[in-house]
Amino acid sequence: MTPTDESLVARVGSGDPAALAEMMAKHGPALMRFATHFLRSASDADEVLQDVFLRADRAIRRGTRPDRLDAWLFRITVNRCRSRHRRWWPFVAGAAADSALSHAMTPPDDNAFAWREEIEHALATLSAPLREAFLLKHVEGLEYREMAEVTGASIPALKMRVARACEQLRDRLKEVQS
Amino acid sequence: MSDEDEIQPGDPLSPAVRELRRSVPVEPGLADRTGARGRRLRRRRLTLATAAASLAVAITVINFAIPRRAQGRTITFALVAPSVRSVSLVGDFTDWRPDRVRLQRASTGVWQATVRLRPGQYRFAYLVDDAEWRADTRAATAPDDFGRPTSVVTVREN
Repeated sequence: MTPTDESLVARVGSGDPAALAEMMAKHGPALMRFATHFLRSASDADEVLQDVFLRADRAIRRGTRPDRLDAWLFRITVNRCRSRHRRWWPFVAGAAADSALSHAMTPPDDNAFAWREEIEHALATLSAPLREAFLLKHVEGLEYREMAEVTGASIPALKMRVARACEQLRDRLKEVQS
Repeated sequence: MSDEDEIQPGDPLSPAVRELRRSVPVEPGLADRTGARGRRLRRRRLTLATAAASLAVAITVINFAIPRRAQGRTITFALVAPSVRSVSLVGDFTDWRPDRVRLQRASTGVWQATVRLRPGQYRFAYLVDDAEWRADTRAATAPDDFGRPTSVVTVREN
């Protein structure tokens, strides 16, 4: 049975070492998907996740009790991804070999691989704020209210970013398909 | 999510979003790697804290031990001159400049100033009313390079 977030937080807070691993197993996949697509590097995303769970562990042990664990973990992840992106942004364009979608759980297929490359390339052309908003909205399925909580941006700003991201991605993918 | 935000089936974005929503596997051993990283960070913090503590001790030693010896001792210079307007102390340690150490007048007519001098021998004199050069009659005297009377003070280690 999947443990509830409340019980996980309580156990992490009481110093149960297995609880952090269970928290990773429960929330890690969604955070990994976001971080991998945002940073376009699975190895960078892996490091971000380590950082996220270390910070979460420390904060919970010091008494932080998040209202919603998933949104709280997403907020830490978004912040860590932003920091990492700012630190490495001149170099990330060359990270295609370690690309995000090449790690996705799909069967090997040349056409599918080429299609994934195109999607990833289109995603890479978006600015970081647009990519972040698009991924949170359409890939992770967050509500705008949750996105505002996670990103610190206003809902109108987020709606505009998502709309622009969709528009730019459509144009890019139409070019590829034609 | 409201309908207006949904990506419709005919939208060219629809297959892309489907692809992006596929799971991205978490590398096995994330918990172990995170634990190891935590231990590394704790070790690093401990090393930094130890280094900071050592530095604090070193600074304390420098502030309280070495400088006291290097800064020497406090010497009080005094001149009895009840009817003058100002007295300056000039010497090797002021580069013979009269504006560095001004003596303060006490009600008894004694002018005095206290300065800290490192161990060594110094020549000095008093400049009265910015015009008259006087040696200290209680100290050993020796003429300066211009033949004016100056006094000598010796500051010992202890």
